[in-house]
Amino acid sequence: MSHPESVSPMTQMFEEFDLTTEHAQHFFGIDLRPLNKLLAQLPLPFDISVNKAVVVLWLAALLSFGLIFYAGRGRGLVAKGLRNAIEALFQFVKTDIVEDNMGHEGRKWLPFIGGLFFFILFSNLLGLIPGSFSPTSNINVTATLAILVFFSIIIQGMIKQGGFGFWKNLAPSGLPAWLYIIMYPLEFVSLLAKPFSLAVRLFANLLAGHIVILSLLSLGILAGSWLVKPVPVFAATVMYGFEIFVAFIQAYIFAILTALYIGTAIHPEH
Amino acid sequence: MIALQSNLIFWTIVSFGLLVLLLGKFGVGPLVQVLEARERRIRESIEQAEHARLEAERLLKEYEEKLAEARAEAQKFIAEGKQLGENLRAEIKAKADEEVKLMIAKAEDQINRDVEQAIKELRTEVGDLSVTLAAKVIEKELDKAAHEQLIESYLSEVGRLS
Repeated sequence: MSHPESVSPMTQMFEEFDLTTEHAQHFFGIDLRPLNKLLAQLPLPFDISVNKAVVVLWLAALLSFGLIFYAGRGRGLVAKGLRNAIEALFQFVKTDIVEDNMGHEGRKWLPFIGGLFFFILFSNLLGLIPGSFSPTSNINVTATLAILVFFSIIIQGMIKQGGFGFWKNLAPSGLPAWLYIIMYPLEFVSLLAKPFSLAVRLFANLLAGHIVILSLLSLGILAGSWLVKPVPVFAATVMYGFEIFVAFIQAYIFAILTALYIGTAIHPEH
Repeated sequence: MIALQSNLIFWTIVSFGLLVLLLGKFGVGPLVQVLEARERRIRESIEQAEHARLEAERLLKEYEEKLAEARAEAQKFIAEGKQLGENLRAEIKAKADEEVKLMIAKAEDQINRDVEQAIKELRTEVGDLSVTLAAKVIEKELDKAAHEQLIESYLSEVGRLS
């Protein structure tokens, strides 16, 4: 690492969370700064510089596509090993997430929902590798995904129920007229709350997990006696295991809620 | 930590957008086909097994029916045979009885005839003997025809006594 001897281990650990420093422009020894110099030449009104979170995003997308592509190329009826694992996960997304919540029309959303699930899952999991970074623990990433979901809901709803029908169907029909004055603002807020909760839930869960591990390891550093030091380290190890579980569960929650929201836009009567 | 980072937003859209595009074009279709092919295959196998089971059950039932039929038929044959034997026995016995009766009657007839014959012979003999005896006693030859009457009456008396 490019740190002088004087930097304390605590500072080094905290730096792992910061994407604004020079340190974030290294990914397992690969220096991203030359690439960023190149990207800076592009005439764009906003910053598109690459840091380790971005590299993990690329890897997550690559892994998601690569594994699904690989599993789809499999020959023979009996799947084994990695192919079997990918097929099982994909089958789960297909039946339990997409078909259960969106019906048969959900088929065309399978790339989107499946992409979300695997992309978030691998972002979460890759972030668990020490020295890597969870892009999903950053609100910018989760909010972007949530906004994409938000637009998907609106577009699918307007296609299915008509440009006016979708907004009209926000509130259930058959209520006294004066109630709609309350209902429409309420339903509109509820519509906005959907992507907001998606974004915050994912980002907060991932970040919280990392912060807990960080705190526990900090305790280990701060503990004076070597007799006490193993205790927080052991706790951090347990937390690590739990984070693997969280990685799966959060990807699942994001995907199934998206399927549910878009499914509701397809079948407003439910 | 919570700040607008346009590079993350940009790269999220690019990575995820490309991922969804590629999945839609090349990734999801083949995998869904693989999964559905397997599902279909499994369903067909189960259906086939079910079909085979039903067929086997049907055959078993058929065989059992046939077996029962054959058993009933055998039973019938045995009963018929028994009846036939019984009839035959009765017939033979009746015939034998008849024959025995006939034989007895014949024998009785023969005996009667024999007795009659014997009586006739005896009669002649006794007649002759009495004539000879009388001749010897009275030393005079009796006229055979004149004394036939006498002998007859005597003999009938003897017959009654016996």
